[in-house]
Amino acid sequence: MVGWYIVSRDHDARARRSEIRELLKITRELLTKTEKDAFNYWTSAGKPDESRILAFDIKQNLNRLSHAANVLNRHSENFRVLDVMKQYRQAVTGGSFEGASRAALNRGDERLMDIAATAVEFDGRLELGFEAIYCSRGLRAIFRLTP
Amino acid sequence: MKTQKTINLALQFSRFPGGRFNTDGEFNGEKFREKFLKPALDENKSIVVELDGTAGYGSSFLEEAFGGLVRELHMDPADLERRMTLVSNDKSLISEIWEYIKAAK
Repeated sequence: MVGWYIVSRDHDARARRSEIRELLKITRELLTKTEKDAFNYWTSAGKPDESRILAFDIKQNLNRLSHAANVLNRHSENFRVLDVMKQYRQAVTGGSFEGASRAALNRGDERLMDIAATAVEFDGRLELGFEAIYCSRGLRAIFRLTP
Repeated sequence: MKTQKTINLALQFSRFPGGRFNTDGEFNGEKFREKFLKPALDENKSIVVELDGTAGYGSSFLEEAFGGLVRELHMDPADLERRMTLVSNDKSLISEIWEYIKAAK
């Protein structure tokens, strides 16, 4: 009975870890996509219809990214990603985003550097969160097995 | 003055909010502020704004709609904090909006 409980519990823990890893993968993909789209958007004034479609895509993917960040944060407070999510959304869609008179930015513009820096910070927090939960548990598991 | 009003942004305003001003698009931040937030705050003791259900927000829309309550309409941030409740599953969104309200001058 006890053995069954331990096996079941460990199986659930491994399944949960896999789910979180998968969610992290999706989150990172959204982060990469929005960063690339944001760079394209801000460096081209573009045709109005094309700009509008790209802006819509960016906001929709930020919405998905934010949802993922909230799920991770609810799973564990070690995923400290809500503040950086806010900063990332501000960097990508603040200022004159969707402004009628928006002009294309130069590649060295501060906004673009801000987007890139915040994306790196976001990615780092995702990895740190995962390591804080699962790597420490792994070490604890190893310690218990040591006679 | 009525007691409380609830505004569901996605259902009552638009699922596709965007931009700051009328020149930026139909469902812009200024319009939401002037046509929904301000009248609701004028006529009710408290309001609830439900934010979920849209296709996504740009920070420019959020800053104009909510930060504009202080910057353009000179509302008191502390009074807004007492009277306005923001509802969303996205905590980062709520945090961002309050940041705009407190920072606006």
